Amino acid sequence: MKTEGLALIRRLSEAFGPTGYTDEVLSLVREELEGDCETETDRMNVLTVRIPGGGEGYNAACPRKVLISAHADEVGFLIVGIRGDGYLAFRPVGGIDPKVLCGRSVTVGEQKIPGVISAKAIHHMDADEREKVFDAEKLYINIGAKDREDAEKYVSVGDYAVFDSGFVRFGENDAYIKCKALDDRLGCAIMIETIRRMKREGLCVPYDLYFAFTDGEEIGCSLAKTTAERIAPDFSVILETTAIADIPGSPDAKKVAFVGQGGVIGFMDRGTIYQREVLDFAFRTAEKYGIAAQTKHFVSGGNDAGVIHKTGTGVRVLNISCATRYLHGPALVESVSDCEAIRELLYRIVTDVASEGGLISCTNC
Amino acid sequence: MELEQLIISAASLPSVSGREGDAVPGLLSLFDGLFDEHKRDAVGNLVFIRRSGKPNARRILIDTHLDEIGMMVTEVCDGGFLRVTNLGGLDARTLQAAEVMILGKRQAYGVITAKPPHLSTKEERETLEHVKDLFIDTGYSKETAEQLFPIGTAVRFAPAHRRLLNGRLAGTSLDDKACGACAAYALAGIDREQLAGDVYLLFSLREESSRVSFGAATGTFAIDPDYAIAVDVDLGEAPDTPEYETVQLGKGISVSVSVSMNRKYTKALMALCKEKEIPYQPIAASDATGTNGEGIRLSAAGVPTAVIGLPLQNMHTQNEIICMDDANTLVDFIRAFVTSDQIGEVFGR
Repeated sequence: MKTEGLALIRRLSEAFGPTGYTDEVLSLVREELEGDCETETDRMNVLTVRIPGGGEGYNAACPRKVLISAHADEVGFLIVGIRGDGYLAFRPVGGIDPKVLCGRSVTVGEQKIPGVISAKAIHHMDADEREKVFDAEKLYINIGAKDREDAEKYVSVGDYAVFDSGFVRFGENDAYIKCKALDDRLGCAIMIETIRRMKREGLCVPYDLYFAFTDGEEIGCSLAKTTAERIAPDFSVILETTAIADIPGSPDAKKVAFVGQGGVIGFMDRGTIYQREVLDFAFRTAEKYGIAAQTKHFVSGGNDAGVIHKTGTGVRVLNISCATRYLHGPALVESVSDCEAIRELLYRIVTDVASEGGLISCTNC
Repeated sequence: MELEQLIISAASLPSVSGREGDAVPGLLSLFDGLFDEHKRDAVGNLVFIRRSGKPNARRILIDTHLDEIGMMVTEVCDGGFLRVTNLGGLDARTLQAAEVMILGKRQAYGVITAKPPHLSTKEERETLEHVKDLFIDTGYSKETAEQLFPIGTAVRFAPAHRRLLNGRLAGTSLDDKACGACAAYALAGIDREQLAGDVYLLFSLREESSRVSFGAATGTFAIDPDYAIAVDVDLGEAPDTPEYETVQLGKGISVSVSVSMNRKYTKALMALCKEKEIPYQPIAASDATGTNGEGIRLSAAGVPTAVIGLPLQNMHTQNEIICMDDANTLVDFIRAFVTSDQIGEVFGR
């Protein structure tokens, strides 16, 4: 099956793929790219696509290399125990705010059993307890099992769970989308569409272009590192989603970015300070093609640029993120126009980066 | 329609406490042809009647509440975000990132806001926000939102239902429309001649948002029944909760053995269960039951009342859970109840 646009974002986002368990996502990526390009999966289970360069300015003896990277993993849960009464004890995989856990629908294990994150009823809580945040240690997944033995027929310790929260379009003129795992299946979808568009338009660039669908980002042990070490790119673009706080009650100073105002080009986050010439190039490109773009207004978060720019002898990095409300929860919200702006901006960076003096120069030649 | 589908269909109808009327057209269409009559009273209670055809028949009341927990818009903010207040007891732990339907001039989807934890202070991270501290993200501009979702607009959790293992059904608004659906289903399957009296199935309003069972009390007054049962969901087993304060799922209905309900009547109902081999779980209540039973019992000159429960987990969340075995048991019980001549004899006339 092949999908595009929002249908592709939906298909990838609804797939089951927490950190360390991205096979289902990668198999969808392979299916979507079949016939468009060769895919290769390395021994760390990172899927990469290499589009060889050519034409004027291409140095076949020592090709420049550009890496586009997005992570395929999503936040989720690991089952750590099965209680006598059949409830499953779990711990979050990745940084999930405990405030979004209680009462949520989840999908558990290899058999994809539906479950509900449950706790004691508010009717059994005193006034003090009603003011408290329930974290994973006080929450359990209810799959309807009668007891431990019954639960063990369907779930084992070490199994994963993810939020069960499907794709919805909503808002004025259907301008917004909501789904689990848009972080960062959106980036994966944009890479697939970029590869297809290059083929469709017969685009040949004077450098070797790599696309990587990585894993481990959500737990801060990203395989973007090993991938970048293997490929040794001269320049890398990291596609991500970024938590923002453009909601009422949030102080203006902490409003990181704004939904609907274009791709977020970060100048600095907790992992990386981006080079001035790279930022200038990105904003210049956005302006040249009339693509909406914004910067971050607050230093927060991080992404795979943090590990990639420190690999090998160092890599020039650019981060383009999608402003995302309610990140790391069951209901991420993004703007359709932002998704489209990022897709267009990435394509224009691919077409233009080689003509920008110095950005992908090789230090060895 | 099968029982499970009837429960899901009823639960999916919007009936936010104080705005129960939204569900009436849907309910009339769901129950079309199942009853002899229906009435709506001045405050909005909806009652369906099955006549026994007997002269001077007893009036038997089965109450379930129509309303569900929800929210109401109190302010339309910049960016089209809505500030809301609660209607009924919301579980604050389940609100952030919850999906809702806004029942405005146009029905619209929304998401309750959640602040990124790494943009919050430590104190903020450890404090649970209540509904008045949160907003609904509509995706509309403020100007359009003011038109479509004016102050007073009701908001409910987006309806969604899934089957879990062992016949469990999880989803929104099962409290208390699952019981209403069971009662309607039960009554529809009985021949008129078998009824011990005329049966009034009351869908009462404002159970969740009034402390005095206002809907059930006024509804009962109009019906003036000989005896009644209030059928509501009952707190199911849960982690870190004493076993004797909850009922088990899959083990039958619950019967409230309460200081406020008629003990002789309650015992007669338990005897009926035993006789008909209907599984039930007695649950003791040392105080008022917190159900419509109180409002019914104290209506007019008083009505002998008992409280029957359908075990339900995660009460007042978007993923309430019942067991279909128990729902079927409730159907069996209601059929036994309305066809039993002995129950009426407990009180004489």
